[in-house]
This record gives sequence, structure tokens and C-alpha cells, in this order.
Amino acid sequence: MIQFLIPAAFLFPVLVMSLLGLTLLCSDLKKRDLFLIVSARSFSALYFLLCSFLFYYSLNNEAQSYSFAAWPYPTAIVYYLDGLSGFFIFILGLSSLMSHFFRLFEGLSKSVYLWILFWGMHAGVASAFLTGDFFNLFVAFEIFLILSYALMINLSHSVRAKQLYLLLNIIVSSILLINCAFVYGSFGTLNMAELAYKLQMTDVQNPIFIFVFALFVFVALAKAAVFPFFQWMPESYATLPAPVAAFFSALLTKVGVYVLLRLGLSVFPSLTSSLSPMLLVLGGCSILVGVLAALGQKHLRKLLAFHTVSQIGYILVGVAVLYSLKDPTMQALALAATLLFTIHHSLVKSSLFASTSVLDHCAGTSDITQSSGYLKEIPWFAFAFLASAFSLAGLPPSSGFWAKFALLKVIVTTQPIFWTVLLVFAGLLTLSSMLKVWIYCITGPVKNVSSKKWGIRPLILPVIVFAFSSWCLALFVVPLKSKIDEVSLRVVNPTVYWKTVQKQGRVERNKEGGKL
Amino acid sequence: MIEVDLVSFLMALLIAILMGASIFLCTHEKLWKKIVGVALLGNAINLFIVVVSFRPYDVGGQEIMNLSAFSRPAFIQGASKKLALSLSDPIAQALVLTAIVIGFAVLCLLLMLYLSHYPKGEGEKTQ
Repeated sequence: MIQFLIPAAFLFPVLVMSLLGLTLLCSDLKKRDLFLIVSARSFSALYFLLCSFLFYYSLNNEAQSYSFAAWPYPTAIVYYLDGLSGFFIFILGLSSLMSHFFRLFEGLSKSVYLWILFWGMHAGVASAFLTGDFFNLFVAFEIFLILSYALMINLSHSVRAKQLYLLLNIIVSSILLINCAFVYGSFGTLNMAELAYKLQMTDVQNPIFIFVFALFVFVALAKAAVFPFFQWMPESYATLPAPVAAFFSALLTKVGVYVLLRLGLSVFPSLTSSLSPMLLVLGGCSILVGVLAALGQKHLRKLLAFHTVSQIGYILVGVAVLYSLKDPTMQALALAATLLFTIHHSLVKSSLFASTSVLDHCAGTSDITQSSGYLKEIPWFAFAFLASAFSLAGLPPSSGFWAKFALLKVIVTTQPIFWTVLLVFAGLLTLSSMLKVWIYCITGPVKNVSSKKWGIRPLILPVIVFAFSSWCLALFVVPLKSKIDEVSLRVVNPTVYWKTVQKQGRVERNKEGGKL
Repeated sequence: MIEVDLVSFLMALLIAILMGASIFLCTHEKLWKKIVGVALLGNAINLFIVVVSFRPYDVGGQEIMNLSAFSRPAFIQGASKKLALSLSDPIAQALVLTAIVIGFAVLCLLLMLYLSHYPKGEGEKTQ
């Protein structure tokens, strides 16, 4: 059963794409739009269920691999589901559900195409999270990148942002392709498990391994938009409409994080400890640069995009600490803290981006000086915003506090005190940038804001629901954390990956018997 | 010891020239030159994949890899080494085909971006 559900995470969005495409045949525009909204939302709910099931399965069972078309082991493209990929698949399902429940593309022309592109991105991201093959990783990257280019060209208003986004991502994925060529040319395989096996079973120090790993790390860091490569991200994401920006910000940066974790933990585990100091410094720089840049922004959406840089920095520091450790139990704790931070960030970022659409609706821009007085007119929205802001800054007892607390607990015991101080200080800066929004925009005299304004209620509802759900995470943090701790212990074992893929690949081969 | 023959050397030179030209064009200010640069970059990488996958079967690599496990064409079970040497590697061709299709799609999108902002051959003004 699970063998069919793993590829379904990729195939389901492809199917939805073609079904939504069929609506182009319908000539009655009103009926078509209604059908689109209802069907896309119900598909998204279904997809969320599928992703949750995969996550639940991966928490409670051993890792699973699926070989496409039952090809034998080193040849087959495999999908691999374990605690790590299951967790990121769950984040995908969650982000999908959340973006569908605020007014995605409603009222935009050409909306059918946009829905189709959006669902195609689900397929690409799911494939990137599940794949166990380097070239397939490149293809998955390209699937979601090409669709995101199309979304960007359609939705963004800034020529500069479009050019920057397209060219940077094309160059980064070209580097990924060159790297695939290096891997295939040097090791004769593109299978991650096979490469991991070769790296771990032979004690020859081959400089090519280091070179290849360094290029992969570069690609992952550029995709995650950390410190030296971050300029493209706030520029381009801030020009998108809020729901799309939330999806991009909550998910596409996570693909880089996932690739970094997967390659470091399962494929190149012997090389990671030398990488750790660099990641730590880059993470620290992104935290500071992101939050300082956010302090200076006037547009809420750009401010949030810079906060994404800073939050990815926290995640990167978590990854760096994980890589500096040798003891599996400590590694598991670091990984669990990183994952907890990742899911917290996805939730809270969606909520905050949803609130920018309220500002857009009221003042026509997300500029925080153009509208104020939300506290008097729409107090529910103001409180929901405050809840998310506290969660982003990591004040107790929000989900952000627990995520940061778990991360700091690992850092305090393993790293110099400087890093703890840096993280706490950056938390204060985050809080002050959020307070800036609160003072300028949420409180103050009423300007351009009215609770009677048409169509504002459906915009406020998701803000409240997302803020609520991120605080719910804080309620369930103890059972969730213990479960993630447990599954992390399995993920950090570097031999599990290739052993699982080899074993299950050979099972497939035996089934075929002597036919070949 | 890896022997450098003339064809490999020329291929390497060609890839280097293509890469260099594409990087030069990609850093140019005008969008259409960047687009040409991206197209050249795709071609350079495809050529690179083809060249890299012509592995010398007898030299290099044995000490870290089990030769029989990786250097034979993938889809022939139990192929002899002689047969393997006489066939070229299908995987590299599959990779290049996929990469060409993807590169073509990306190029189309870039051209669409260009046309949507600079229609009717007006060209772009340098700022």
C-alpha cells in the first residue's frame, strides 16, 4: 500500500493539473471559476491528507524506498521516504492547504493557468523531497522552477525582480546539472544510495567527492537564500501577491534546506564536520543581515521576505550544529530542533503573509505608513497579527519560543556562548521590527481602514486561523518533539539510507526472477 | 595515467570557449544578451555531459570503484566487458535529451519575458 502512496505524492498533483486543465473546455466563466475554487480546495485538502498519512507512516515505520518501473537497484530512479522526507512532505501538504484557504488567485484574470502552474509546483517540490537520484533532483528542481518562473512572469509587476529571479535560478540549476555530470562522470552512477555506499565503503580519499559535495552545498545554499546569495529572494518574493509569496517563502527555501540535510546526513556524512564552521558563520550572518535589513523596510511584504532570510539563518545554524556533532543522540536532538523550527517558520510565515493581503486590501499597498488604526477598527486582526509577530520573535509561550528553545538548548551545550548571545540578540531585533509594524500600522489613528469595507472578512479569517494554528503547535510541542526526536535518531544513522535502498531494490530484482 | 588525445582536448577547449562566452554574455547589462548567454550555457553543459560520460574504461577509477558494477551499459544484464566497450552509454544520452528539453523550455520562458516587456522590436534602452 505504502509502495503506491510514495509516488502518489508526485503523481496526484500532476493528475490535478490535468483535471483543472479540463475546465478550460467550460465556456461559462462564472461556473468555471466556482468549479475551480471548489475543486482546487478539495484537492488540496485531499493532498494534505495524503501528505499527513506519509508523514505519519514515516514517523512510525522504517524507511521505505520505491523503485520506478521496478528497475533493479543501481539503475532505478528511487523515491525514498523516511522521517526527514516525510516531514518535509508534510510541510508541503500544510503549505498547500494554507495557501488554498486564503484567496489564491481569486479575481485575477487568466486564473485557470495560474491554478495549473501552482499545482505543478506541488509535483516538483514533492519530487525534490522524495527523490533518491541526482538527475531526478535536477528535474524536480526544474519542474517547480519553470512553473515558478511562469507564475513570476504572470504575477510580478517588477521587471527587475523577474529578471533577477529567472537568471539567478537558471544559473543555480545549471550548476546542479554540471554537478550531475561530474557525479556521473566520476562515479558512474547518479543514484544517491549507490554514491553513499561507495563513499562509505571505500576509505580512499578522493578529492572529487569533496568537490562534488561543495557544489551541491552551493546549490542548496543559493536555493535557501542564505547570507551571500540572498539578494534575489526579498526582491522577487515581495512583488508577488500574498498567497503565492507565502507559498514560495514557506516552501521553496525549504527545498534548499532539505537538500542540504539529505546530502549531508545520508550521502556525504564523512565530509560534513569540516563544513560545519562555514555553515555556522553563514547562518549567523544571514540571521543578522536578514533582521537588520528587515528593520529598515517600509513595505510589510519586503520586511517579511527579509525575515525569511533571517529565519533560514536559524535553520542553517541548526544544521551547522548538527554537522559539528559526532554523537548520534546529540545529532538527533539538533536535527529535531531544526525540524521543529522549520515547521514553526512555515506556519508563522503563512500567517504574516496573509496579513499583508489585509493591508493590500485596505490601502492598495503593503506600505506600513499608508494605513493605520487596525486595533480600533478590526481588533481581531490586530490580535492575530500580534500573536504571529510574538511567535516569529520567539516570545514564550508561542511556537517560536519552543522552536528557539530547542535550538538554543543544543547550541548552549555544544557551541561557544557567542552563538547563544547572537541568537537571543537577533530575537530582540526581530521583536523590534515587528513592534515597528505594530506602532506604525496596527495602532495609531484610523487611516484607510474600515471594518465595513467589502471583502475584508475573508481576508482576516485566514490570519486568525493561521495564528491560532501556530499557537496550537506550541500546545502540542511536547508530544511532537518527542516523536521527532525518536525519528531523528533513525535519520542521522548514515548507513540506513543506502542499506534500505539496496535491500528494497534487490527485492524488486528478485521478484523479476530470471526474466531479464 | 590518463592519455590526452586530440579529440578530448578539442572538446575540452570547445566547452571552455562556450562556457566563457556564456558567462561573459550572462554578466552583460542587456537582457537579450543574457538570454543568448543562458542558451550557450545550456549547450556547453550538454556537451560536457556527453564528453564526461565517455569514460576510459581501462584507466582510472578502478581503485575506488568495482569496475564491473558501473562501467557497463546499464540495461544489458551480464554484458561482457568486450560488448560493454563496444557500446556507448545510454544513460548519458538520456540525461542530455532531458536537459535539452528542459533548457528549451527555460529559453522559451526567457524569450516570453523579453517579448512581454520589449514588444515589436523596440529593444531596450540602456539606463
